[in-house]
Amino acid sequence: MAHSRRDFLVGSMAAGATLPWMQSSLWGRAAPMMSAGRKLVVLQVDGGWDYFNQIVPVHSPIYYAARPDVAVTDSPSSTLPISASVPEKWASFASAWRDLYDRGDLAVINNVGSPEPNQSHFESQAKWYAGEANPDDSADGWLGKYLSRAYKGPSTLPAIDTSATATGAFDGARVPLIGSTQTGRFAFEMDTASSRDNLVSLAAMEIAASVGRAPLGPAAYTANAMGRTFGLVQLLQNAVNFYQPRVTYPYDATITPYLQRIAALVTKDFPAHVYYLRTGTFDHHSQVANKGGTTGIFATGLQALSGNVKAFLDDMKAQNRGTEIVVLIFSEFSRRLGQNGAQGVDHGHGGVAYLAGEPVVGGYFGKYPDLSKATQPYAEWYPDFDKDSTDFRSIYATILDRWLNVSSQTVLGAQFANLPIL
Amino acid sequence: MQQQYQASVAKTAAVAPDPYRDLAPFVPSAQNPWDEAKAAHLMRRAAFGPRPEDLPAMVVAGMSASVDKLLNTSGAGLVESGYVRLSNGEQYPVQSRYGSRAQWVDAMLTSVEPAVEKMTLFWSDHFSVGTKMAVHERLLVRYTNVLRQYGFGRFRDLLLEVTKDPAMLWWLDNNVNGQPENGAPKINENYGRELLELFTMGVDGGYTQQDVREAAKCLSGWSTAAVDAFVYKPTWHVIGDKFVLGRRIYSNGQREVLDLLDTILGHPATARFIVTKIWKYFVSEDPYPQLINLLAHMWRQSGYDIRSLMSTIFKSNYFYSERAVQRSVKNPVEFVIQALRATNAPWRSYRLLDTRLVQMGYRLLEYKDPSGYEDGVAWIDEMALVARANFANDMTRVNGMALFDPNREINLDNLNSAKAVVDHYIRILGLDHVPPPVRNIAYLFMDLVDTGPEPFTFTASKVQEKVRGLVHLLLSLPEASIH
Repeated sequence: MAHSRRDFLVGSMAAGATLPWMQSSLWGRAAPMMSAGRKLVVLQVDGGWDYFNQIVPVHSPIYYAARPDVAVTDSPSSTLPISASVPEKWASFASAWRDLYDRGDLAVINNVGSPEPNQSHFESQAKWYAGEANPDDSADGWLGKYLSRAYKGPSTLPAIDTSATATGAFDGARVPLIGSTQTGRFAFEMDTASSRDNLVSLAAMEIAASVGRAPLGPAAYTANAMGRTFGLVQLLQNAVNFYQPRVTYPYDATITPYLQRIAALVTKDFPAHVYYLRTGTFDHHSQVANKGGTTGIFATGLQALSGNVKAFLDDMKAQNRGTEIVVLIFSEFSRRLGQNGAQGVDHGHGGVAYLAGEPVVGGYFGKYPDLSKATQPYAEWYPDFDKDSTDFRSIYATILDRWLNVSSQTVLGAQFANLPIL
Repeated sequence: MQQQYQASVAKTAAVAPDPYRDLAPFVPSAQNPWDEAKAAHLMRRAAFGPRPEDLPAMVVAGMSASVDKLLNTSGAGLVESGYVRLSNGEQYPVQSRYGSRAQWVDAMLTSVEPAVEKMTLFWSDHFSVGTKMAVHERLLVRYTNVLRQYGFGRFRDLLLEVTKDPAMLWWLDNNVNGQPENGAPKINENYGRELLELFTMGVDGGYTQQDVREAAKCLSGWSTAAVDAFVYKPTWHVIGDKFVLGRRIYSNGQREVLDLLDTILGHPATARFIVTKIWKYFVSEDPYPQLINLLAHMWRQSGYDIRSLMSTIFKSNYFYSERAVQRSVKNPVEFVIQALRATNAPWRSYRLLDTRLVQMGYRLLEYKDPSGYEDGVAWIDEMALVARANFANDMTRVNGMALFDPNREINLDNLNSAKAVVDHYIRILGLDHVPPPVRNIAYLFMDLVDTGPEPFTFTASKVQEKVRGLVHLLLSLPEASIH
């Protein structure tokens, strides 16, 4: 680490000026922004994950008829009971969901969908982003609307997008992107072609911002903001580089580092209270599972995903942050009931979403799709949006009204029934 | 923070207001000459900043002639269809979002009428449009051409042309205003409301909900044919007299809109609202009421002539005083275009430039909100400052978004010391007002590398390294975001 060298440079430039990050603690500047409070983590599972191999309708012969090669067979090694009153069972590779459910930290929201469902990833994601049934090209994201219309807190960086590519959910508000290694993330880019003076450049920028300006006017305002910016950029880098989790995560490159980044920022009291992460993909058109249903790409992917969510919540609990956090996990749609010719499952509708965390009222909510309504060919059937479905906007409304304490109607433009999950 | 800042500027402005003196033309004196610094100030505010070679001729010409030359414009339009080849050799389809933006940014960088492009940027923010469907992207260049053609003309003509432009008709739904439901025209108030609230009188301008409704009735039937033509649909028009702002508008079909505009322009709130907005955008964030009242009065007397208004502003004592110079935050477009023009750095790719603008918060011709952008210090936050510094890095690095030549100024001006190089770039980037310690930091920067002291020399590798780094540093200073 080039820290002492940088100190030397700064010392020779500032001639005695002390910069915050030169002080003893790496976190010297981090502490005071915002104390413990409620945080929302949104985990968007890209690609449209499968519902029926996750919460398995072991009671339904139609399910087994529709998926002769990829169904999860009902046996103690491949399924786990949910509860005495629930006829469906967990797939064994979803045991992390089961563990969270059993300790009351997981709300299973069945049969979530959208009126006028659409089979396109892009169009369906646009609905979830906007929190609208039929958003047009210019629609803002639901969290963008929350931040711009309803958020009244003190932080100037209330939300962070830790995804590798930005989410549309924040459209309408500007939110730092930190997951990306590309341009556009919240970090100072440096000319890597001639890197002999990168540290000098950064040090000069930071000291120049700290020089006193005439107190009134836009230069002082900007210099002040620049000083804050250096503190936050430094904090983010340190959070990413130096975080020590308290539990072992089942490492998966597509999700573990991103969740640990959120964990780091939460434990270091970064001023954001909304964190977003896109992960996946679960777009499994072929070879979704091997015979018996418990191995294959879906099983592997879901095990990693659910296991990491559980590890994240365990980590937060171990850091005494468990009561501050809820995690929403959803996908833009679910798959069809029947397998296709490539032992995959095509785009469907009517999926499952979860709300996880200690503050959540755990349980099994909504009605599992009625498979007796399924029509042949099963490879083309998926549950319609009907009276048994849960409108996805009810989940957003519940989070806004009961967790973020703002009027969901102000944000979503209409009233949606709250779910008893918080 | 923002409130504190605004309160403090209000206090500054409270000193002995004399609007007649403040709006009278600036007369240079030995103590306060018309010089390159003032000419550069004019170019930054009225256009997108000077190229260094522009300034000597402006000093010779004098203030008044320089303003007249800037404002003596034809408002000629950009290419509206087919493909356009940019000054950097790139080619774009015109009727796409990126093509529209790219052609416009090229005009900001290279137009012989740069004040038109600046005024068009202002009007595109004031009369902001977005696109609801991809097919609307083809309307964008044509829309900005309307702003170019009428943007320095009479405000009534501009209002009328914007009102009937398909991009606006689609964006604020007037294309369906009056669409019959159960045999009777059904009013859509959206455009009527924004016409009063955002485009003319301001939210506190003194109109009522009833005025909005009556205005929308006057506008009923002003619609679109296919995607891209204006058409009046008589059967969609609500027949009968309307009452707006206490005035009767006689039932007269599509011509009611002309009476509606005259009614709005007859209300004193309109001139005050527009003049205030123009003042804040082009001069300073803290105009005082007497000054606005006088300028609004003058504007109405001129028949709402925009060129005459801008001429008064750009020639005024106030404009060249310390209350205006370096008192305004650059928006991202101003920040980027000024930097490229000041350094004569050719740009390599519009896509790369666009990415930077978006990171700073500006999406040209893709407004989400009919009220346009909030200006001033609203542009300054942590993300924006990181994005501005990263643009500076990208602009100056090898193989970045521009072809920055670190030898250009050294050769042109025979710069022969590190100090001369620093002072030169501070001047051409419009940073003469940085506090002295900041200038010292820039001097020190030239003689340091990461491993320790290493004095600057005019060797090829040192020039590459340090001059690029210097401009990156200077454009990342707080003052670089102010003009």
